[in-house]
Amino acid sequence: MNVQPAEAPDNRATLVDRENRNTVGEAFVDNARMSCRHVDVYYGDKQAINGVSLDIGCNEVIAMIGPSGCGKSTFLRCLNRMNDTIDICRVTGQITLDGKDIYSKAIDVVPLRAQVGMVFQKPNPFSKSIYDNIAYGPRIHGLVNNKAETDEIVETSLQKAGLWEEVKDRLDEPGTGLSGGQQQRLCIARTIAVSPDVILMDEPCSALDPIATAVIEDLIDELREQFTIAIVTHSMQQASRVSQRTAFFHLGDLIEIGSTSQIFTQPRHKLTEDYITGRFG
Amino acid sequence: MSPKHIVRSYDADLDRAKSKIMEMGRSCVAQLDHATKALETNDSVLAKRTMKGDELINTLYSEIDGFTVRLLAIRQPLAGDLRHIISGLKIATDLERIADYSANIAEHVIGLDNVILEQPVKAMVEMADKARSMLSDAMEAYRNVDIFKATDVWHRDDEIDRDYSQLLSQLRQYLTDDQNNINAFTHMLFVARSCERIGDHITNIAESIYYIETGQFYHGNDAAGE
Repeated sequence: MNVQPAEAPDNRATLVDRENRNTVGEAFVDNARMSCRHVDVYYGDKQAINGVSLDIGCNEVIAMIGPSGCGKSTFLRCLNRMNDTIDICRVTGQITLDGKDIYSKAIDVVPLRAQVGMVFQKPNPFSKSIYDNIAYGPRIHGLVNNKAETDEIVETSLQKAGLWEEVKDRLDEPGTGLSGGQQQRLCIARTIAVSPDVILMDEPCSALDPIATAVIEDLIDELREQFTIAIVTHSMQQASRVSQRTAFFHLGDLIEIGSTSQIFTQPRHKLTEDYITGRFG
Repeated sequence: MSPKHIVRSYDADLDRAKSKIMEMGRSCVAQLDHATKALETNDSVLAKRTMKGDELINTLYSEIDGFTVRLLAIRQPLAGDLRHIISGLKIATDLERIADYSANIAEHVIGLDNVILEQPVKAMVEMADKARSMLSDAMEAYRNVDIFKATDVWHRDDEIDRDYSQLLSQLRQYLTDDQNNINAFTHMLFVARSCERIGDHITNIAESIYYIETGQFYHGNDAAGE
């Protein structure tokens, strides 16, 4: 038989072994809004994050995934110094926002947390009216001088959060009276109201039904045009839907980072493959 | 080797899908074998049985298609699982087409209406035999996710293409020279064309196997994937 020899490139070797703890993938980008280098986090003697380095690009949504206890939420909370509130927590390494070290002694965490806002797992509106939930931030940060300016920020923020049409006729009613999905969008509007650069979201849809989740995911896609977003999620499908880049954490290590489509179709590390295909968790 | 899924029924589902596709592959090899024998021996009874046998393949394909849709909806597969499931459906689609072409060959055997022309029939049988051997190897490559065997099969299609080209020239000549058997030669043209198309579908199967393992597309020796 006159058969050409098969010359198949053996691409199977590209999967990195489970035991290898070095980060695989493209951790850095050209247009970084936040840069993290060699970040370690300790709770007392226990190290929760091990030398993580990555960039968060301007106007991108980066998803952080990994099993419970992998350090993804701990890492997220480092990005606006939320861990400062935990006495035994110590953060080393460098995290910059637009080139400025956010852990510098010169940094005031109150404006920092406006610049890097946060939305939590469980909606946590203030026990105030819908209007005041939004107006509170701009007032304390001195972003408004009069009622007209406040009205404008309240309306704009609620519009950006896709909530305006649903609440515009009841702005005086308590925020806590809204549905779970509406409360979460109220919290997003509250974060937007102080004009952040970055929005951190820690499992923002885990307490919501599928419809409310879809509304938030749609909103995240719209917000990306104006803001940079880092989201921690346990839902692989959500990460694949809303983000452009994905970072996979395991036992405090950043195992793999890359474009979301690559991570979910062709992960390079065996641990990533095993995790996202449901072989451990 | 990958560890098992936490949800054990997921592994059972993946095994079931693969086993159905393997069953479809075996049936297709048998169909092509029967069509070839019918051609070689001018056996219209076997040809009719082969045409009827296509119904089983169609049923198997429907089962695999439905089961794959269910797997995608329920398991929401990712990474290697996604590649396995998507490629499995593509392989089943190629098998279904191969079975159609086998039935076509059988149909044209009946159309030959006992006209025996030794030389072109011998060439067609050789082509069909090569295709059957390639299909059998492709299914073994699928069972073991063996990209080396798969790419070997992929390259063997060149030989079928060469055979087809030669046979086409011969048949054109026969059509010019022997006006009494135009009908038979026309049927032979279709048989040769069916064998050539079967070879193409087998290369698709080989490409799917390559994609399962590497996540990249195989385009021959210059393949770098995408």
